[in-house]
This record gives sequence, structure tokens and C-alpha cells, in this order.
Amino acid sequence: MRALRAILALATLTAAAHASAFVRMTTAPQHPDQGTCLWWRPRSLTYVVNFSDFKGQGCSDTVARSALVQASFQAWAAATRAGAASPCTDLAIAFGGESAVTEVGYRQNGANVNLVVYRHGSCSDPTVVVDPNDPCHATIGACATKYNCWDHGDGGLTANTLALTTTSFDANSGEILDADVELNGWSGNTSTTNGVVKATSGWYFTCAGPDKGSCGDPPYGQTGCNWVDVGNTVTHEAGHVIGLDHACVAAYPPPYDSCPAPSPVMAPTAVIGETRRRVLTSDDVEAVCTIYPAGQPTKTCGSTGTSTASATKAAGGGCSTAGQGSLLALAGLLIARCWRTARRSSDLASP
Amino acid sequence: MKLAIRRSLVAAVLLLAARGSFAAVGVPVSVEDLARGSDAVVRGKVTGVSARWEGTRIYTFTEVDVTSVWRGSAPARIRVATPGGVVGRIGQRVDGAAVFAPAEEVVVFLAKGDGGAFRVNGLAQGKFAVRDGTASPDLAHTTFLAKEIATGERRSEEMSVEELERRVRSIR
Repeated sequence: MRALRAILALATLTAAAHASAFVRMTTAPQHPDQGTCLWWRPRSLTYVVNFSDFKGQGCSDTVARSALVQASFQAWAAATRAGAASPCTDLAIAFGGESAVTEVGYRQNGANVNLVVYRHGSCSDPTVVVDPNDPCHATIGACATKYNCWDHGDGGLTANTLALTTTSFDANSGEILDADVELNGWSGNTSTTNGVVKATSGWYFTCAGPDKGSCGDPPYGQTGCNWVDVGNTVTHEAGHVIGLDHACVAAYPPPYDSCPAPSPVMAPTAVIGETRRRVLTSDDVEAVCTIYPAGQPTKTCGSTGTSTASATKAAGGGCSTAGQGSLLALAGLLIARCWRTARRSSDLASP
Repeated sequence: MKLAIRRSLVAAVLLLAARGSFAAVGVPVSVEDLARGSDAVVRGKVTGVSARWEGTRIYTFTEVDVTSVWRGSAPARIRVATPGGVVGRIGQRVDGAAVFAPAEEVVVFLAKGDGGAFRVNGLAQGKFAVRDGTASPDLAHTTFLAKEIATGERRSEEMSVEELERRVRSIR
């Protein structure tokens, strides 16, 4: 009987401890259990958008493109817990307008801007950077700025990365100083191999939703899929911008490896044509509202930080999920039932 | 009664065990595709890691002593540039980029890059850490698109070094 009580207690405690699954970025990449959490000091951020080289379906006008990017950031700023009437965070993320900026990174002694930029094809694609003798090749990253191309070594037909966020931070405090999002977009160019027309690099983004376009059409020639949704992608990257790491990473040590259902926006997977990640899940809401709670100091963690030092570690204070927590709780209930049944049986047997 | 207790316990254990079923699943490019798109694929050992500014970006430069070249050509010592790192008080994170550790044994899929340094082809998918005969990419920070892998090919994932080498060398 004591053993059953212990199991029940363990299950209940585990369920309680795993209230959420989100994971925070830290100063130690690939080690959410080490370093200092990344966080923004101001509660009001501004970003600009450069989609001037955008090639895609349903986003032919700048208004539509900007609207979807704005909605992606606003999803985080408007995070509201289920049943609540108002957002549980006061983090404001303002659209600063369209921009011609292509430079990603951080200027130590200059003005910085948080950027969302659409790269049109790979810098290694000769149809994008036409001149192999261009002086930009002498400096890493210079061609990306000059030609607004994707310079992360995975261009061409082996392209696998939709987007990347570069986050600049104070290595001591973890304070985020700048964050830029690059989308690995299509160059508009195609090549033909054995009669099959394919894109030479990048992905074909769309704002139109899953009902428009088909990857069965050239240049991709895949069947049963749609284009990559801008909203789906930018909402995920916006999570990185505010300091969130991926959730649902099995390679992370517990409790950072847990994963809720439904799969959060910050899960490291995406499906062509998917749009559901335009909307935050309860775990994503918990993430932004735990770190930047309305009317309360920012939660930091690790050695130095600022504001309020939280007792929580990099994983959302615990990390795990509603889904998993529910399972654990259900398991606890089953064990409780088992215990009650056993106790009843035992009581009946008592003299 | 005992049967009811046993059934409840079994159900509880099954639910607890279901935890892993929510693990994220990505379907990235194949090892063969990575090899096709690489200027060179080498096995070697990390001998030095340092970071510096390149314009507004921080890059980490990793020196690798090459022990064998599986595809293409490469000198005995190569320098690989990966985005991100820490210089002084400023750090940059680029999730999805490969990360090298000092003295690490690695297999790297290389693309010729600007500035005289190689780049890792396929970001984190193109770098495998070798331990005890097993090669493993660190894909924790990579956002994947679901994409079919060609029949007979294998995605970038943990496998024996022998298999990885065989797959790379099979590409002409």
C-alpha cells in the first residue's frame, strides 16, 4: 500500500512540475541547461521588413506580405491564456515599416534594427550572384548583404532550412541586443534535369494559405503539398526573436526534451502548406507570459541577469506540457483509482 | 479485484510510456544529397576553435586536421566558418548552424565559401560528431520541412561511421 501511495505521489508531483514545455534560449547554444537565458530588456520592440525581392503566391502586394508578418509577431504580443479577457504579457512588438535593409547582425557602435528579410535564392547560385569575381566574396556574409541572398551553406537542391534567426546578445547578462530573421526564399530561377524542372535554390513562400498553389506545379514537382506559408514560418521565428528555443527536442536532457500536444509553434518541424503555426498553442502562450508577464518584471535565469532572478531554469520553468502533464495526471488518476480500490479492499478485510 | 488493480496499473504505465510519442519528427535531406552538393567530405579532428567579427556578424572558425577525404579534395588542414559565437561581451546565436567542440572527431560536408574558409553544407545536418564508431549530427536547432528521401538513401541522422562513409563514397 505504501508503494502505491508513493507511486501516486510521484505521478502527481511529476505532473505538477511539468506544467509547460517551452524552452528558453541561453548563451550556450545547444545547451538549454547551461548559460544564461536570453531576454529583452525593453517591453517594446520594433522590427522592419524587407520583402522587396519576394517571389511567391498570394503576396504580390506589399500590404498582404506585411500584414501576415505583422500578424505573426502580434500573435506573441497578444498572447492570452484560455478563458482570460486580456493578454497575459505586455510585450509590445511594433511594425516599423518596410525597409531596404539587407544587413543581418549587430553594429557595436551604431544603430541597429531588428529585421525580417526575404533572401531570394542562395549566394552560391550563379544565377543569383552572377559575378564570381565580385569583391563581396572576400568577406563572409558580404554577398548576402549586397545581393540579398541566402548565405548559410545549404543552397541549391539540397536546401533544407526555411529560415534562420540571428540573435545578438550580451554574453554576460543574456540581454538580447538585436534579432534578425532571414527567410530562405526562391530565386525565381529553375533548372531542368532529365526533363524535370526544379527550383535552383530556396523555397517558394506564400501568404495565400493552403488552398493556393501546389508543389506539384513546377518548379518543385512534388505531389500532394502546397507552398511554404510565410505566417507559419515567421510566427516560429518570432518566437526565437523574443528568446525562445525549440521545444520538443528529443536530444535535450530532461526536462528540456518534453513535448506537448498539440505541437507548439516552437517545435522544430514544419510541413509544406501548413498554416496552423500562425496561431500560438497554450504552451507558446505560457512561454511569452512567463518570461514577459504583464505588469511584472522579466523573468531571467542563470548567473547574472537583471530584473528579477527567477528560480526557474532555462526551460519554461519546468518544461513540459499540457499534453504530457495531462497524460501524467491521467496516469496518476488511474493509480489513485487502483490505490482506492486496494484500500477499499483492505478496509473490507479489516477486522 | 486484483485483476482490476493490475489493469489500472498497466494502463497507467502505458500512459507514462507514451511520453515519447510526441517527439518532433523532421524529414531532412539525405546523406547522399548532401554529398552530391558538397565540394568535399572529410573526416578529421578539431584542433582549434575561435570566433571573430566579420562585418556585423560573428563567425566561429574551426581548424580541422583532415585524416581522410571521402569526396572531392581538401588540404591536410582546413578552416571551417560557421555563423555565431562569442567575441568579448557580445554573442550571436544562429540556430541551425553546426557547432564544433575542441578535440572533437568529426565528419564534415564542405562547401567552398567566401573569405577563404569552407562552410558546412546543410548547416547542422552536414556535420557529424564521431564517437565510438558512431556518427551523429546535432539537429536540435534545425527547422525541417517534410520532404521525401529518395529510395535507398538515408537522411542525415545517427549511423555507423562505416555506413556514412559508404554512402558518401557511393556518390559519383
